[in-house]
Amino acid sequence: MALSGFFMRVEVAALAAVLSLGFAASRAQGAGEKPVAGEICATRAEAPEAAGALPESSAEASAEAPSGTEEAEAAGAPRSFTLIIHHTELEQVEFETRAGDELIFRNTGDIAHNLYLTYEDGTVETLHTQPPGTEKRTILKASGRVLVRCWIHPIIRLELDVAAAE
Amino acid sequence: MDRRLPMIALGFAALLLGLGARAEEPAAPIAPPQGEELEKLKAAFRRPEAPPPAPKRNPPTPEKIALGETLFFDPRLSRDQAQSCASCHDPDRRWSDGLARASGFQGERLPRRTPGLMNAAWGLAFQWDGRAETLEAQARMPITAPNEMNMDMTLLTERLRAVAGYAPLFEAAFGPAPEDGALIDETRILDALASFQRSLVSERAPFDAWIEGEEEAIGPEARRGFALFAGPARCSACHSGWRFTDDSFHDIGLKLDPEAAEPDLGRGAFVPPEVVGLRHAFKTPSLRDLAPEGFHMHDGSLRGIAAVIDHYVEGGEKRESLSFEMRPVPLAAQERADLVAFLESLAAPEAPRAPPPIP
Ligand code: HEC
Ligand code: HEC
Ligand SMILES: [Cu+2]
Repeated sequence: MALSGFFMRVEVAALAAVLSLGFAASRAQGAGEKPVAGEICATRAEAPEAAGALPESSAEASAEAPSGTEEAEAAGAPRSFTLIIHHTELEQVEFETRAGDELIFRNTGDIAHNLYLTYEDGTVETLHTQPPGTEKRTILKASGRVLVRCWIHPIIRLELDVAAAE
Repeated sequence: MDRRLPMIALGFAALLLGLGARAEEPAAPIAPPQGEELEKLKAAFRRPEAPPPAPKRNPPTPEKIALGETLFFDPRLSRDQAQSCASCHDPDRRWSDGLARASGFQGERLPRRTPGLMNAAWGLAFQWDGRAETLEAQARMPITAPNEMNMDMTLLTERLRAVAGYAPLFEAAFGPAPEDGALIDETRILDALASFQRSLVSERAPFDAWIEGEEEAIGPEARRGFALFAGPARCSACHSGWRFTDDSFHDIGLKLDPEAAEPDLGRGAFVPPEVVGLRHAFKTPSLRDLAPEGFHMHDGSLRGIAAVIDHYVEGGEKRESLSFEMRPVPLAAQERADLVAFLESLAAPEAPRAPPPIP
């Protein structure tokens, strides 16, 4: 066996770091290049992330909006937010979301998750099993309190205050 | 070409190496982590120094804990006055009963095994399926379950009020009766039981001494077992932290009971039916203070730690709900023995405990 799970954890974390750096570098040099295909890279490059609203680990990469999403800069247009789940920690971020915005959950740890969103009216949306190194996306469907939790790991919990679409 | 490609290549190399870890080939003898790496790993399993946490609403006091202990050992809590909490959660059996499955009201055989209660203060969900969010809420369940103590909370309150010896214990724990309430009521009973259970904390195990730097506190087998546990065997993907649990729910692929009328869905009974991954999922138990030759799992279906290890080597039944973290863990005989030695090092010597006087 080449690597143990223990080392794998480190690898995966390192991988995420390497990728963020790679992207930060590439975007700084000129956004819009076709990304090299790859599980994490591809999804990452496709993510139309809004400027300035992203959590620390992806802030660098999103300093510039990727090409093709300039229209997303327009006031009131839906935006996209990336949240990092590492092991059983879901990044606690403070940003203002509106109905219609996209949430991207990126699993950078080494265990699978099964996130779900509960809207104020009780509607539950399940995002299903999310293996390490993958992303899940969803569009915020309604305004009000939205609770993000994991069916597997009850410790994971994030509350969002979602404003009405503009 | 920009600077990105080498980065991505590096990323891919890491990814490939990572995937390599999933290959199902026998684990080569591992070199246990050393130096700084080992220290970091040890820190993830170090016991907390702070006392057991408690909800703000119900802070523990010595008097409340003493009252809770008395209630815990009092058979009046069951309708036929035959069973106390301690009948099933016996301090001489690591707060369990030594049975594969619990024996309930008038000997009814229950579908699940009695878990131990150590370190419950830190727990995030209680019962094998996590249906109780707090120890206060949990305590009501066995008292009122028809197949357990089969009691009624009103009847219990009346029964305890009639015992002269309880009044001073309740008064010491909670103060005199409030103007709009009674000295002995349901909330106080449950609060005292919860407070007592929060006081049950594992004694220091040989493993703890090793974590704190006593190199010889555990033998080389247990040390290798720890490296396996937190490394290639990936046990710590679920059995994480000093209590060796993630307080989460997983289907580890145990055989479904062929005699049960309905298979036990575990956590799956409390989530929407489309959440397939939670079917037959149960709470990850702590691995401290296990009885080496005892029954294990929610259904007591495996006896002895060695049988548990065999289960993980095989990887469990392949079904849709099988946890993503479950995959066969090929282990040589010596590695299995190492894991067993490690798990044994998590058991503290049993501390004898005399039951309290019952008023
Ligand atoms: C008839 C045997 C029996 C009696 C009596 C009993 N228990 Fe239990 N206890 C069990 C079983 C079986 C479970 C697991 C039940 C399940 O998961 O559905 C359990 C679970 C628990 C748990 C959850 C532990 C965990 O890790 O999730 C706690 C806490 C507990 N019991 C406390 C008590 C208290 C307090 C009393 C007395 C008021 C009591 N029990 C009486 C058998 C018993
Ligand atoms: C997918 C998460 C997961 C992984 C990985 C895992 N466990 Fe478990 N373990 C559990 C759960 C959940 C249970 C209880 C299952 C049940 O009762 O249905 C359990 C039960 C046990 C028990 C029985 C404890 C008791 O009180 O009944 C032992 C011992 C144990 N595991 C050891 C290990 C070892 C050793 C490894 C690594 C080879 C391991 N586990 C890997 C989740 C996991
Ligand atoms: Cu999770």
